[in-house]
Amino acid sequence: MSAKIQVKYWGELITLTGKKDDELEASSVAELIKQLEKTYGKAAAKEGKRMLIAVNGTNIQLLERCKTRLNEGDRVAFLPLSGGG
Amino acid sequence: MNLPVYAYINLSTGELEKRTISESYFKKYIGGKTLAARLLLDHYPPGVDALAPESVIIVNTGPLNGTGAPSSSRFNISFKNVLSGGVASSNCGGTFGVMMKRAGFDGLVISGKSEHPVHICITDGDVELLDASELWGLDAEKTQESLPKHHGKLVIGQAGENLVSYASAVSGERVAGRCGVGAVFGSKNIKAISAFGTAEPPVLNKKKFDEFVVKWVSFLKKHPMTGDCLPHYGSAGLVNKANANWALPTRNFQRGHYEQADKVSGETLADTRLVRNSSCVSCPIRCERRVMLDGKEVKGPEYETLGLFGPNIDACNMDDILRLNYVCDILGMDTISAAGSIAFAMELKEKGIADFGVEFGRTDNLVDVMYKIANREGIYSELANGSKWLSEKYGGKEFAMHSKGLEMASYEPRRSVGMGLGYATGNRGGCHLNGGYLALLESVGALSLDAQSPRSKAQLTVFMQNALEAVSASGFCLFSAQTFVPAVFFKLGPNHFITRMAGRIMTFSGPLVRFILNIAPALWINSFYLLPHAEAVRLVTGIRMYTGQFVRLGERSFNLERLFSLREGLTAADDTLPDRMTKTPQVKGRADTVVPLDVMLPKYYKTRGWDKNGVPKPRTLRKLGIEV
Repeated sequence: MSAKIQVKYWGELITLTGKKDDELEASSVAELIKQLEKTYGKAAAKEGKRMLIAVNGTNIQLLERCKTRLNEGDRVAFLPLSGGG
Repeated sequence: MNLPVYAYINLSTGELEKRTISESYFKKYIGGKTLAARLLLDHYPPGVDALAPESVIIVNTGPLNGTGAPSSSRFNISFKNVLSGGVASSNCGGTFGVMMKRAGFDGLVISGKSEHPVHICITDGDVELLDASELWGLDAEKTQESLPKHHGKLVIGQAGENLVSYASAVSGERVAGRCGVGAVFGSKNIKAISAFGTAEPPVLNKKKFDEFVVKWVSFLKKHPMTGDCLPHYGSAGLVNKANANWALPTRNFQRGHYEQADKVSGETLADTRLVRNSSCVSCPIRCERRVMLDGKEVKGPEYETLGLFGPNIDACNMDDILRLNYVCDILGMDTISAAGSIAFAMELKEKGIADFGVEFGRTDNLVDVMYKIANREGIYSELANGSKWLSEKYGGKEFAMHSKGLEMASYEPRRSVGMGLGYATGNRGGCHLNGGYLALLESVGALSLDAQSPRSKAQLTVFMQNALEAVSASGFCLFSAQTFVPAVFFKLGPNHFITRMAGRIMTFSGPLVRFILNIAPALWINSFYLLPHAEAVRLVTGIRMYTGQFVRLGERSFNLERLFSLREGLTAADDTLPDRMTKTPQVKGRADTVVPLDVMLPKYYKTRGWDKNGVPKPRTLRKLGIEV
């Protein structure tokens, strides 16, 4: 069952979606990306997939990657890659 | 061949001498921290305290400084580490190195102690020792305002004057931050060094070099890391990434994840405070953040400062961090060690052991605390000695977050175990860069090795330490080396199957990396895709420098520094981490969230060609051409 997810965009996704903050309905990260595509087009979904995706602040690579389940009120951030030192 | 010229300055006697470095030294050690390590071994009297008048400090450049090569304005300061008693090198951008070179000097070898505060003034081939009594007591900003406008400047603030163990030296708004270089300046009564010159640094093959630079700049601008990530967010962009991977130190490294980290992230900084980005001389990357503070445009904080004055003290007040960053800079104090010492003091209070008036979650009083530390007022004088000293007096060694006395940078090594090995083995101590910066490959970059696995970490740490040493020695910023992660992984992103597979494969790359290290000198190739710095060195100096020799140069450098530290009394027992990192899992019940240092360290020594006591074997020294 889909849940309302608080979404935060960074980098190029702000331009592609025209928003910094959003609310989408999805039950998993994979579904959220599909919602991105449906709402904002393929380019937004492609950009989202190549960013670091954090669910409630944690990288989905430490969770179940795109299969990570989403619950009502969860926060998902699409973060640009970075470097430094 | 244009050989480096050094000014030998004895502040006790006022003697000044110009010496040319021999061709054999130049070819073998190039410059920067590598040549400085050799000169320290030659000139530093064994066993002399870092702050004694007899101590020696070397301020030098690399062959690429001032040539116009991208990101090539870095200069180096090598000395005896105030915090560890071993070797120290501190690296800085800005204009000073370039100006010193234009003034005809590749380096300074300074010994003795001046009777009064001194300003070492270098102009077009001349060195003068000027009375700086009137500058004593001024902060770094006001000191620089008092020096000739067009000079490159290197000064200390009150922290250096008062011998704060982690005092820094400041050049413009760039800082040679680590290991207490400001205290060594202060101990010699050096308030300022300034340089101005008009000579063009020598470039042997000018035409080819200029063509190469144009291509290299274009390559840097096209690469996602140096052309997009760093210009947009600077190193500050790492806060959210480290946090997402549970590698952001929180509450004195008790945890690696902070719920409100986004409030002090590079993205938030860019969104709410950034005025513009800026750069050092001849740098196309432009990573510097410019922010407004109390109506004045100042340099913004780096990742380390955001992390350590933020989540690591359980706080997330961006305004306070901007102010603390500025205050530490003008007082001349390393933000990493200052914040690390404060975090330790906060935990001492939390545990009821000692009370320095600082507590987790509170930042409103920290500017005042910084002034008191810099001036060594009352009990704050103890905070000025660093977390190792504090733990020896009050206890709590298991949570004093340093290695060899140097406070750790803002990467939680239990979620980046190779970084943990780097902290433990770095010649400086708990420095991410001297430690090989495996965090970039484990927990904050596009490409991710298995951050919890010790597999291949020894070999990769050795390789990265060597490569970064060589980049520094040449006069380059380490950011210019971050293009070694191929652009394709940024384009695919961390979630793509190919990126994940590449990370997995790299986790098993140890034997291959060791093989490459062994045959390095046979790698007669130069490429933009690996270490283009080698080609730049070849074109500027005429030395036959290719990628393999370049990495070997770094290996020579690392071993020279190791030899200095061993001579000064450090041992394998100092290649360690606090128990919190090696014995307490970051996540309860997950045994893999500790740093398996005991597994990695023997492999590291073996890869380095050191014996079980961490001493370079005679065979290793012969291979590297090091004579002791």
